[in-house]
Amino acid sequence: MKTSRSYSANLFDKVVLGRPRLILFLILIAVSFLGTQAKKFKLDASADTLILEDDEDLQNTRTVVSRYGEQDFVVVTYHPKSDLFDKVTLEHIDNLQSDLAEIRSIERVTSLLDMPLLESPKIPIKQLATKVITLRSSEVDKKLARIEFKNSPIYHNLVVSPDLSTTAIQVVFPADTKGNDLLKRRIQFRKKEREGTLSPSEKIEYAGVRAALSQHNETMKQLRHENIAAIRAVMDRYRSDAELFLGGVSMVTDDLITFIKSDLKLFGIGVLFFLIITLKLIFKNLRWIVIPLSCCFLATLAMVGFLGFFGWEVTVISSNFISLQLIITMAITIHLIVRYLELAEANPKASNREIILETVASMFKPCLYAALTTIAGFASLVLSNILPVINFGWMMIAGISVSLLLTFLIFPIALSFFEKVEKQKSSHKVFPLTSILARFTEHRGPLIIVISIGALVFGLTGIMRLVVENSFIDYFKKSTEIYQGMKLIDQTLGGTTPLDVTIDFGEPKENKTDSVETAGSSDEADTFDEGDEFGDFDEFEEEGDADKYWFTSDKMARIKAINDYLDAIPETGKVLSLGTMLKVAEKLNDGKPLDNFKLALLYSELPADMRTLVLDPYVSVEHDQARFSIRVRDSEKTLKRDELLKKIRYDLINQFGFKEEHVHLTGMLVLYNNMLQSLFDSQIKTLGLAVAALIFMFLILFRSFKLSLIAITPNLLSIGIVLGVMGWAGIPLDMMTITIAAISVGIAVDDTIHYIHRFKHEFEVDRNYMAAMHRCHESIGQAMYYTSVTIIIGFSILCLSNFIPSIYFGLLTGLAMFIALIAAMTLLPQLIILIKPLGPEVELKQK
Amino acid sequence: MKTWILIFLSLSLFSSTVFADELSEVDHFMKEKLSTVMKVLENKSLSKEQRDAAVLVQINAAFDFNKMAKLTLGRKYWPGLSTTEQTRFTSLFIQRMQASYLEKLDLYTDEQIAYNPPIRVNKNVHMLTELVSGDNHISMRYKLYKSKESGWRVYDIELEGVSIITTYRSQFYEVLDKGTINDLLNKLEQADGM
Repeated sequence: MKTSRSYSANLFDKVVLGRPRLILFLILIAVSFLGTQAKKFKLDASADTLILEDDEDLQNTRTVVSRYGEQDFVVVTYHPKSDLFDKVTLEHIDNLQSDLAEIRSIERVTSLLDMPLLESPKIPIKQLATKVITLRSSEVDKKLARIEFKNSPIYHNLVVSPDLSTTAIQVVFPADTKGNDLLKRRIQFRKKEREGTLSPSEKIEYAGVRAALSQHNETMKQLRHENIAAIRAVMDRYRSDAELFLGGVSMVTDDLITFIKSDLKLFGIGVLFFLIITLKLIFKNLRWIVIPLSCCFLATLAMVGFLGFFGWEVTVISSNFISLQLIITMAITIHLIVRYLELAEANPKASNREIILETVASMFKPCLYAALTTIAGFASLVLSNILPVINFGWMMIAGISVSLLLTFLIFPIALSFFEKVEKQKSSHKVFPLTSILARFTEHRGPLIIVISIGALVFGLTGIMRLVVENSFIDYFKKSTEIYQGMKLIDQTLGGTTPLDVTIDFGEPKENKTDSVETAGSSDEADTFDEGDEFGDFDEFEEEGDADKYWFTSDKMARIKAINDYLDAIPETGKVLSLGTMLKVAEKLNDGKPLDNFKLALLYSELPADMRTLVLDPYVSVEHDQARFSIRVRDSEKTLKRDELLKKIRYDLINQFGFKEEHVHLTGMLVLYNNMLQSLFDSQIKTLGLAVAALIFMFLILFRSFKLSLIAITPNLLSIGIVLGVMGWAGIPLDMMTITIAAISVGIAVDDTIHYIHRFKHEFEVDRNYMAAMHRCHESIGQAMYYTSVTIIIGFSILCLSNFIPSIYFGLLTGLAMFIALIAAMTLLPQLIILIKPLGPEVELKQK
Repeated sequence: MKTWILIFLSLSLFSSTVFADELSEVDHFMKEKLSTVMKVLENKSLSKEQRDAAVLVQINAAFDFNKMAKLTLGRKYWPGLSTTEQTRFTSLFIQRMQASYLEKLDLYTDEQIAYNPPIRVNKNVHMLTELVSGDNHISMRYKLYKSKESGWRVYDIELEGVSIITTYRSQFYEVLDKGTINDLLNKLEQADGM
């Protein structure tokens, strides 16, 4: 080992330290090349990244969307200072609507001015074809219109708020046919790929489709971003007359990207500033600021370049990735600095180059071990079935490798350009945490164990309280426009998150028709003498399937009952279905339910354009299916998404008597919930795998079962406490916070490996556990302490973000770092001292 | 050959004469029944009970409710019922039909009936009428068949293309496809807007 190390050390000395300028030049060339690829770096927060590609509900959602013709839209809420039905207010709304309609790539804009009014004054259904009264019509009775809007089952709590103080203007984007086509083709190819039936030519085509879709999505994202900016610009012109907010899934997605990007920029600079300050305070030397930051900058740039090169999109889940890489690079660099300073102090006669070489040689192994173990931890993410999580795993594997490689090249090269540090002032004397912890460990061993057990209990009970819940609205601070807008839509304009319930009333039509024919035409007609009696009346057999006869009063009563049931759930906002439309029709029928005949008549008489408006979105006669379009109040505190979905399904089956296979729940809420549930499951599974992988790695590294078990303990404590704090603090597990568990493992592992690796060395010196512990605390402990302080302070600035997940990330990373440090410097040495995994010690006196 | 042509021609003429006779028979029959009903409706001196009773006499004579009951269940379900079930169903169905018809009379204001010539559809005859009130025209098609016992009788009415029999049938089938005849009979007894 020693010869091989000295051989590789010699090689490193010759190649890297011998020609530092050339190697640096080559590194800069390579990183610059990758830098050019960084332009291709993409951030994707679209709904697609939040859902599971193999999710059956995704296919169902896409079917429902295409069957009932859903289109993407945003909502502008308008709360005028004067009365909503004032002439001037209505004029302003009209102007706003026209201005919005002029924006490029907007299909249509609808406001309360366009809503057909049936009772202002009352008009027969048949006249709707020729005479539609709206607030724009000259013959409209505004007093009646006000009453109609307030009481209308359709408009109330959707187009206008219940108190008639606010209205919603819907801005509809054109259907993305190109994107949908590409998506369909990609799904087909992906299916074939999984089945292994993709031919070579199809493989090329598949790659083309993927590239085209990615390009198209990028263009659409840009277009939507421009649309939303343009809508906001138009809204700004009307803010003197009213309070306006923007809402809708498209806007949330766009704002999410904007928030993440702005956080990356703003807080990237903030984190950098804080890092500089902390490094300055700790090391008091310009070189210890320049070198670590150069390493961080180049490693991050190279990695962003890799992402662009491979076309890996950073999603909401992996948006913490850059910060993580920064943490890891910074940790490696600080370990190298501390080791360098230590060696420089211990070997005053050695040259700078010798000390650099010794620093690299002595630190490479523990850093490599730490990196490999962290890689093993993150590799567990690759086993998840969620694409963004898998990508996050790969990103971290690549990122850690890049950081390790570049830091071990740039650090020594950069340092070789400086003079040797003669004497470095130790900053820990200002606050000697490591010495305090060493003394604490020595004198309060049992207390450490008791505290650790207590902390573990705290963590475990906290984990029990963890919930997989979150809403988009909770991502933003209450002071933000996006929060206020979503809250307003949630509370007064029908809710924000879409959920679709579709009910099949029978078997698929083909089977149904078949069964009628078999029963009627051949066997029975021949068997019964009376068969002839029906022979002259075959018209009924033929026309029975006509669409108009689908609307039976029995079916309508069930639809109305389901509509009322869904509406009565406190967490649901607006429920629109055929049931809502029937309520309007009943109003026109003097409040009485329509009988079968009237229903069929109504269907026949309804003008085609009205049919597209009131029937097509809610009924598919062809599929014997009715749809209930629900908007869920995202901000409702009692909302438990998984429970709500399960309850609706259960009640529809058990209370309303539908077969399980006839009840379909689809839409954003379902997909989002599936994602969270599966994320939770996969995290629990992958966390288990990560722990197993860590024990396995420890076994290889330390070749001791006892030591491996000791090593895993602070890691478990770190995960336990971080997750426990989340549980107790009521921070829900969502796709952003759920990665914290993985991050805390990564951080804790680093400290554990460095500490144990050094401990083994120090123990060899005098085979005294206590003395080795003190020496470790004063050497590697310093590096761990500095790393933690630098990162905790550096990331604390994230608390100022308007984006709640960034705040959690800043705080929880700090917490993970702190716990890992304390555990590695108290519990870990205490366990080592207690269990003595390195064999019996030699009494100092005897020695 | 000539004889054959003559026979063929005379047969054709005979059959068309028969058809023409049947059409005018239906035309006459329906006009008489409908105009009597209209007269009853226009007579404002009658109480609701008197009016309903007078109308029922006419529609009972014009409509074959027994046939209509059979047709709503069709060959898919009617032959499978026991005689008792058939009788019970027919009686409940007739009650329902009559009640529904009389209920619609309350909506009568000043409508007049415009008649179009009847047409033959297979063995049956359809009488086309329009209910006219101001600018409003509602098309009504009375479908008649020739009963061996009592001559021409209405077996279905289409209002604006919507058939009463098919409407009932779709509703009844919905119940029978999932349940039993007793479910349907109970529903009819409850009179819950079927």
